[in-house]
Amino acid sequence: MSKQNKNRQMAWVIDLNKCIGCQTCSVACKVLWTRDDSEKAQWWCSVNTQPGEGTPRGWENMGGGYDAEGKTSQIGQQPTPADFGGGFEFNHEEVFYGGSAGKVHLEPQAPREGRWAMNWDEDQGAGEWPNSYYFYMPRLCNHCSNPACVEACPTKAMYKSEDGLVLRDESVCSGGRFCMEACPYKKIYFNYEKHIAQHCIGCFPRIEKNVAPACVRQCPGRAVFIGYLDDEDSVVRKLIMDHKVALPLHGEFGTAPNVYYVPPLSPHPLKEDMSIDTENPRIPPEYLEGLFGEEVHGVLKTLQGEMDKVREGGSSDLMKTLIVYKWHELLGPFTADPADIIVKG
Amino acid sequence: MKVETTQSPAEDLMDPSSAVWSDLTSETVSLSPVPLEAQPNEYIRVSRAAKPYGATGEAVASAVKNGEQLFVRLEWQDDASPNTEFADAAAILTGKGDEIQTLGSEDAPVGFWYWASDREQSLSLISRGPGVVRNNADVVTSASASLDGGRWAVVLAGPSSEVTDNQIGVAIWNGSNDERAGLAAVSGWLPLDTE
Amino acid sequence: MAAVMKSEPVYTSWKDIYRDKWQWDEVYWGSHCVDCYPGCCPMRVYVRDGIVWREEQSGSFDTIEEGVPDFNPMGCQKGACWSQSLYGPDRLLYPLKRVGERGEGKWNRVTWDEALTDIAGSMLDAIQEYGPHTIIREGTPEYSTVMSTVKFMATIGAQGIDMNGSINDFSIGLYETFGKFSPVSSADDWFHSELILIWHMNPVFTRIPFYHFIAEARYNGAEVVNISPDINPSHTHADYQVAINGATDAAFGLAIVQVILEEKIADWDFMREQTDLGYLVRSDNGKYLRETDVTGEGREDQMYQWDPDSGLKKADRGDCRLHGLQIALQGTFEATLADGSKVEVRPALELLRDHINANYTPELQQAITGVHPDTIRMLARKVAAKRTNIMLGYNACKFYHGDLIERAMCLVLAVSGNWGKQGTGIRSWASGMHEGEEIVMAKQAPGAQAAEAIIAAREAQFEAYKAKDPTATTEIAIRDITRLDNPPVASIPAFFWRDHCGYGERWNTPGWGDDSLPRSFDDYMNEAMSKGWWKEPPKDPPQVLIECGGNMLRRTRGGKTALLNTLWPKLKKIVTIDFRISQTALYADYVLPAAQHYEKIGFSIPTPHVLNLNLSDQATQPAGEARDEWDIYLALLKKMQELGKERGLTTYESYEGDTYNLEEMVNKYTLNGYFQDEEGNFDNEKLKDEGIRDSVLCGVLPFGTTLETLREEGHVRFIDMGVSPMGSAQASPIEKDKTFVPFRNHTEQGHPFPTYARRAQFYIDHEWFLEANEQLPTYKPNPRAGGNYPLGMTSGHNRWSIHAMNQANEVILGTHRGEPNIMVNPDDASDRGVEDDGLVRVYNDVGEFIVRVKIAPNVKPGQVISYNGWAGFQYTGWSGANEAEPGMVKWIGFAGGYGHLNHMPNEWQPIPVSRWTRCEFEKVENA
Repeated sequence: MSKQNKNRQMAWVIDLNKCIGCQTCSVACKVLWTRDDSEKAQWWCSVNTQPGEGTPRGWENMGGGYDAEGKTSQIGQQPTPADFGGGFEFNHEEVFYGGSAGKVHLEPQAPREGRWAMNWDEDQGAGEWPNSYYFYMPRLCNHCSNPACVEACPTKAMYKSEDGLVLRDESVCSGGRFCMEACPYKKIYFNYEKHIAQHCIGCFPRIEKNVAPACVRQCPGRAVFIGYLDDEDSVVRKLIMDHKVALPLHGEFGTAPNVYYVPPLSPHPLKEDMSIDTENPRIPPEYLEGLFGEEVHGVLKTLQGEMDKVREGGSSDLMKTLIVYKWHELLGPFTADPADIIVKG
Repeated sequence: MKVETTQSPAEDLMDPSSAVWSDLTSETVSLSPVPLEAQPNEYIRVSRAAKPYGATGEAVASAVKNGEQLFVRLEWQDDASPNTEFADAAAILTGKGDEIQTLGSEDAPVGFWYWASDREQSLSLISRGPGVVRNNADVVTSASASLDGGRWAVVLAGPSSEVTDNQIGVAIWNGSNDERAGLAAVSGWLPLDTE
Repeated sequence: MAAVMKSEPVYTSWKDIYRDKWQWDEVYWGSHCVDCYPGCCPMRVYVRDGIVWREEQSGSFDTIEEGVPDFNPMGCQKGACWSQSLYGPDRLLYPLKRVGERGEGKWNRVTWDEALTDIAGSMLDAIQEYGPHTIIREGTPEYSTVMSTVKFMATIGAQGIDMNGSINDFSIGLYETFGKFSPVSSADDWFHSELILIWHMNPVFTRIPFYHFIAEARYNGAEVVNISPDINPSHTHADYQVAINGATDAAFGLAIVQVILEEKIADWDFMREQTDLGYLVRSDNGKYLRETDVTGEGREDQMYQWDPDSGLKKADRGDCRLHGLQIALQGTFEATLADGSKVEVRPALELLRDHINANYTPELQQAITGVHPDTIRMLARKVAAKRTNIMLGYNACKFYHGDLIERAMCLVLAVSGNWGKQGTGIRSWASGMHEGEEIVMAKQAPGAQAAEAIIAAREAQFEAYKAKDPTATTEIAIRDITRLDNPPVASIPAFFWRDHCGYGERWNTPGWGDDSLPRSFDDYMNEAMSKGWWKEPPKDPPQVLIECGGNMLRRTRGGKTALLNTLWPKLKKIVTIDFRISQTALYADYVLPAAQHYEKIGFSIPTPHVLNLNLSDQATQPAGEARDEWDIYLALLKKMQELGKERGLTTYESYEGDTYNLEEMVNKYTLNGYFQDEEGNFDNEKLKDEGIRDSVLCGVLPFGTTLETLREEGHVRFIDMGVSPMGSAQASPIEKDKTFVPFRNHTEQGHPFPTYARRAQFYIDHEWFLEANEQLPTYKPNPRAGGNYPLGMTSGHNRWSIHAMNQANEVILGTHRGEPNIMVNPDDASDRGVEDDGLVRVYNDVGEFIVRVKIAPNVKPGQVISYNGWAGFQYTGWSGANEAEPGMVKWIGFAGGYGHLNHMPNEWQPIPVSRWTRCEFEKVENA
C-alpha cells in the first residue's frame, strides 16, 4: 500500500484509558522539533490534567473554528505567550558557581504574578476528596479536515498535505497569526524571533520514511494509534468507524478534527458513608459530554459493557484491539525502524 | 513628491534624524483602511467587521535619490498604547495599477519595501492583495527607524529601478491595534517628481 | 543603522529545515544506567557531528508469550531527553576544587593531577592515622558506578554503608514473611492478573514503561483497585478507589483475611503447604512446639503439624508438599513434652483467627481505616476467587510499621493461594542476575578457565552446605553463606547513622517510636549487641567520603543540616564523582567529572521485570575532561601508590586485619593489566566483554553471547536466574516463551522458604516479636515521629525525575511548574490562608523547609504530599523536605539469632523510615 496516494486523511486515536500523563509524547516532540531557543515555550504536543485549564490556559473558551455545521467562521482569540506560559529561564550558573552559599536556589527566572506553564495544573483536577477526579489528555494539532487555520491564512502558507496533514510553508508564512485566532484548539505558537507561526508538522519527515510520528512511536503507554481513515484495515478506522468508540474533541467547533479520543472510564465514587457507589462513575458524564459530545455516553457504555463481557469470560474484539498485543498494531503503515534508516550521506 | 538627487552617503540617509532630511521638502500623505470586503478570507472579514483597523490617517513623506537607490523617509504619529504582540510597520509600495487600496491583486501585484519594529532587517515582498505576500529575493531593501515622542521616523531604501510609473505608495500598520497583513492603512499612488 | 543586506527568503525549502532536524551520522544502543529501577529501556542513541543529538526507544523486544502484549516501546519522558542533560547547565566538565567554605558555592578549576594528588594524600592520611575503614562510601544502586566503586573500595579495604541502610528500598515485611524481600514477576506477567491491587505504589508515576500492562490486563478482564489515602494518579484507570486512612493498611489487609476465613473461601491446601499457619503453637508460652520441646534434643527450629490420623507430625524442613495430607488448620490438641508433661497446642491459624476476629472484622476495621465494611467483603471475595497481584512499591517499607503492613499483604495472598503462578504475587525489587560481573571482580586471571574455577568453587561451597543440612536448597545455602561471609565493615548498617551522624537521640525520643513497648529503644539495641546478633562496627571517625552515584545530602532521611553538623566536620575530604552537579557536590571539597551514560559502556540494572541485559554503548567521547569512573579510580590508585612510595608506605592493615599492599593494588584492580589499554587507561569495554562471557559460563545468558552480539541486538534475555542472593531468591525457572513469576519452586517443587520456619512465616515467635505483640501480622498506629503536629507528610517518587536526576534538565523543568511543591488539600490550605503557588514553611521538631504549595482536592485532608526527588538546591537555603524527616528506625530491625532474622547485607537490618511524619505548615511571605 502506497502512502503517497493523493488526498488521504491520516488520523490519530488516543486511548485515554491508557494515557498516564507522563509527557513522553510532549518531550519526544520537543527534543525532535522545537529545541531552538526561540521555541523554548512551544509544546506542539502537550498533555494536561482534565478538568483543568489546559494548554494554553483557558483555550476552550478562546473561540475560533466554525459553527457546528462547519460553515460560519467564529471569531477567535489569539492566545498570548502568557496564556501558553513556560519557556522559563533558570539560574543554574548562579546557583552552582555563584558563591551564594545557599542564598540563591534554582528557580524559574520569571515574574510570579500570573505565572503559568504547559502543565501548570497537573494532577489538580476537580471534585472533593474522596471523590476528586481527573484524567490526562494529550493534545496536538488536530490536522482537521475543515481546518479554520488554513482558511484564515492570508498568505496561503497553510495547506492540507496529500496525507491529510495541516502544514505550513514556513517560507511563505508572514506571521499574520490569523491561524492562531481561527484555530479553536489553540495549538499554534508564534515564534517571535523567526516571525512565523509554528505547529505540529505531523512528523512528516518521519512519515516520508514510513516511521510513525514521535508522539505515537514513543508513547510508552501504548495509548496512541495512527493510520489512514480510508484504509479498511487500519485500527484507527476500526475504532472510529466500526466500534465507534473514538470521538473528536469538541466536534462542535466544526473543523472536523482528526485526533480522536477513547473517552475515560473512571473508578466509582464513594457515598457519604464511604461505601462504593457502584451505579456511577467518578468523572461526571456531563463533564465528558462537554468535551466529546453526547455520543460519549454511548461510548462509555460500550467500553464498560465489553470490559464486563471479558470479565465474565467472554471475548471482545474491541478489547483485543485496545490491548494491542503487538506494538506495531499502533503504528499503522508506519512501522519502519528509524535506526535502520541512513538519512545523512 | 519631489525627489532630489543627493551625494550624501547612504549611512547619513539611513539615519532618520540626519540633517539631510530636514533640508528636504516633505509631503503629507493621507491614508485610509484597506477595505474589509477586500480582505482575503471569510475569517478575517468576519472577525474584523466590528474591529476597525487602518486608522493611521496620515504620514509625512520625503524622498531622495542617491545613485540607483531611492530613500524614502516616513514620519507619523503612533498610537502610543503599549503593545507587545504586533509590531508597528510601514511599507513603501511600488508598482502600478488601480489596486493599491487592496495592497495589489493577483493580476497587479505591488512591491513592498517593508519595515517592522520587531525585525532587525527590512524585507522585500510582493503583495497580491491584503496580506497575500511573498518574499521577493530579487530586491534588496534596507530600513532604519527611530521613535521619538510617540512619532515614528522610518527610512526605507530600495532600488529606484523597482519604481514603475514614477509612483510609490505608503502603507502603515499600527501594531497596538493588532494591525498586520491586510489590516493596514494605505495611501493612493504618489507621483514622484524626480529631478 | 541597519546593515544593507540582501533580504532573501530564510528558506530554500522549508521542509528541508525539518528533514534536517531528523538526521544523524551514527546510531548506538543506549540506556540509562542509573538507579532507575526497573529501567532497562533499550534506546537508540542518534549521534551527529560527534554530539548525541537525541535518543528514541528502540521498540526492539520480541513477543515472549503469545497472547500477552510485548514490552515495546519501553521508555519515558526522562529517557526521551536524557541527551539534553548531557550538555545541560548542570553538566560537569572539569575537576573542581572548593575555595571558601564548604557549601559556599565557590570553585576553582583544577587539573586531574592536582585533584587526585590531594585526594590520594588525604586517603593515605586516613589509612595511616586510623585505617582504611575511615574511607567511606554510601551504598547506592547506581548501576553504572556501583561495580567500579565497590571494586575500588574493596581494593583498598575501605568501608561502605549498607545500600538499603542508606536508601531503604527494603521490603522488610516481605523479608520477615518469606526470608527474602525481593520477589519480582516480569512486568508482562501483570497481564495475566485478574485482580490488581495497587497498594503502596503509584505506577502511573513510577512505572511509566510498564503501566500499559495494567491497562491492558484491565481490557483483558482484570479489575484494578487503587488503595491510597490520596486519590493519587494511579486511581485514574482503576475500577475502584479505596480511600484508606494513612498507615492503617495492616488493619485493612487483615479484615480481608478475616472475611476470607470467615466465609470459608480460603485456599486451605495452599496455606497448609506454603505457610506456617498449620504449625502448632504452644498455648502456655505462645511459642512454636519444637523438637527440643518434644524430644529434649534435636533441632530448635524443627516444628510440628497435626496429622488428623496420626497426631503430631514433624514439619518437613526440606519440602513444603503434603501430598494431599490435610494437616489440621483448626482445633486444639495436646502434645507430650520430653519431660512427660502435657501442653495444649493449636495451629497458628487458630491464633490468627482469634486475633483477627477480635480486632479486624470488616466492621471493626472501619474505625481504623475508614474503609466501608461492604468494600472489605467485596474485595475479599474477589481476592479469594481471582488471580490476584499486589502491586507493591517501596513505600510501605518506609513506614515505621511498614513490616506489619507488608506482612498483612502477604497474608492476604497466602489465604487466597496467590503466589507462584502467573498473574499473582507481590512485588519488590531484585537484580543481580548478570553474575559474570561478580565473577570478573573475583577472578585471578582473565579467561574462561579462571571463571570456571570460581564457579566450581562456588558450587562446591553450596554442595558442602547442603551436605551438612540435607533439607537446605541451593537458595537456602546461598542466603546462609551470604550472611556468614559478610564482614560488617563492607556493608555497615544503621550503626553508621547512630555512631557518626547523631541519630541515636532521635531513635530514643518518646512518642517517635513504638510507645507500647515495655522497654526503651536503647535497651533493645544493647540487648542485640550483647547477644552478639550484630558485630560492633568500627567507631573511628570517618575521614574521607567518596560519593559516587549517590547523593547523600539530598536523600538521607534526617536531613542535610544534621549531616552537615555531625558527619561533615569529621570528614577531612569529601569527594563527589558525578556527571552533574548534585546537592552533595555543592558541599564537597572536590567534584570530579564522570562520563555520562552515553559516554561510556554499561548496562542498565538487570531485573526480572524485563529479564534482559541491555547494553548502553559508548556513543560519544566524554565531554570536557570527564572520565569513566573505572578510569578515575585507576588513576586514584596509581596516585596512592606514587604517594605511598614517597611516604615509605607499602603495606597497611584493614579493620579486619587483612594486609593491603599499595604496590599490588593497580594490578588487583586491572587484573594484572588485562583491563588496561595501551596508554594504561582502564579498558571498560574489555571488562564488559569479559563479564558477558562469564555470565554465559554461569549459565544465565545464552551460549554465544558476547559484547559483539549485544552490539548487534542491543539486549539479550536471561535464561536462568543464577545463584546471586536476589536472583536465586526468585526461586523460579525462566522459560523462553512464558512470562516470569517467582516462587514456582515453592509452589510446584515444594522447595522450603528460607525462613526460620522454612515456610512463608506468619507466626514469628522471636522473643522481641512476642514482647511487642507482633508475632502475628497486626495493626499498630503510626508513631508521631517529628512531634505532635496535625498533619502527616507522605512521599513517593515523582513523575519528573529519576531521584534528583533530570531536576535540572530544562526540558523536564518545562513539563511542570519548574520548582518543588507540596500538595495539600484545599481545606488545609484555606485554614492557613495559603493560596495555590503560595510559599509556606513546613516544620516539625526535626527541622523545616520552605516550599511552594499546590492545592489539589485529591489530597486527603490532613495529608501533605512532598514527592521525592527534588534537588535540595531547588529549595530556599538549599534545604529540602528531608530536613523534616526524622530518619527513625524500628527497633525490631535489630532482632537477631532467629534463622532469617540475622544480619544480611542489603536485607535484614534496621532501615530509616520517613512516611507520615508529623508536621505543620504556615504561610510565609515571598522573599
